[in-house]
Amino acid sequence: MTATDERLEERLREALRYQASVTVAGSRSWADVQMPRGRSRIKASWQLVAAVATLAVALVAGAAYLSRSSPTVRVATSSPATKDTAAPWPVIETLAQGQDWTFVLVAHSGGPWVCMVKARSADETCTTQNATPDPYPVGPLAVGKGVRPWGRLAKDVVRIDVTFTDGSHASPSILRPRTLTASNYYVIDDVVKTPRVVTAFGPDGSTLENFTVPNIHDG
Amino acid sequence: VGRSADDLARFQTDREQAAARPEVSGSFDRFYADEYLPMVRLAHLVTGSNDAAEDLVQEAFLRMAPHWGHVDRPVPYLRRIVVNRCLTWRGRRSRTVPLPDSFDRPAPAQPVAEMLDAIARLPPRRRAAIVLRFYTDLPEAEIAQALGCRSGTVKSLLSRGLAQLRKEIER
Repeated sequence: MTATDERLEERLREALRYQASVTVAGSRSWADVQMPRGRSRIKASWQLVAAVATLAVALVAGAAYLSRSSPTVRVATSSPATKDTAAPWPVIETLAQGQDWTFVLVAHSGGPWVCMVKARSADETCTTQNATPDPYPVGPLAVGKGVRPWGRLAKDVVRIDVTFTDGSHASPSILRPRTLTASNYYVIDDVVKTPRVVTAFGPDGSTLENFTVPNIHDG
Repeated sequence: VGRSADDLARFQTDREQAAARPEVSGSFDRFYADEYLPMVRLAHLVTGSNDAAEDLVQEAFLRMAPHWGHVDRPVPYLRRIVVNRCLTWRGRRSRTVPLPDSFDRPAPAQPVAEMLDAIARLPPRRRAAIVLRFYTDLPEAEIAQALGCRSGTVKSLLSRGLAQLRKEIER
């Protein structure tokens, strides 16, 4: 090996070490990944049976909901980072009748807030407007099927609160971290309410973000 | 739904079997804690995307979990899944629109930045081979295992990768 080769390899190693040193990986355990926060892993067979039964009930309830009609709803979403621009996601989208909703609230690495609405159609295919077009199904049925995240929460956000247009709040039990995905993002499965204000809290209880969802039209 | 339930049941069974098998040292939880960050770093180097790296490694662990207890050498097994996913990740990028990253990272020195640019321009398999050799310090046989190819192919990938880097740097 020549001296030139050695210098190249040393420079290569240095660059790779640098890149590795700036890699950010959320500290988490496998248990955090497997189950929602605050719950222990399934350890006994009866718990497994209960989980399967719950899933079946959710499936039946979801199918029953999807089979009924709902009014056409016009939804607007925006983000502080993009509200003055048309791209990458549109400001207003009309959702067709009979569709289910899933609100997906995302913040990215401490950056801009995004409030996204995903519509779940009867065939479980998402039709959506958001930053990351995604054909994967949403909702609890998607757990374990390699759900793709649409974004990630800021590392220091520990709780999100949502005020809906009717003045009610989403409780932590409604806002739940989705499991089996890489990113901590929160999904509200709520088919009747529209988010108005999204607030993120840090570990000390302070408000990190307070984002008003603009231009909501229910019709 | 049935598949998810089956997967969960199989995963649980595998975990119990893994705990009962003396040749499997440590639990999957410990394995995850030990290998998550190193694998994210590896995936970051191969893909060039920190966000994608976290996602791909997460998916790799999920893919591996049902087989835990049946894998004799879990790290090479996991590494191969991660590398494979990194190499196929390119085709999936068009489905996402990256959000701005406000994370403050220290700016690299110019020689480092130039080298990183040159690495980013390598074809994916060459880049993966280069990363596995010069960051992970794997021997050619293990690189071949991670890439799913023969040692001769690894030699070729490394040789061509270094030649391309040299050319890019000297340009």
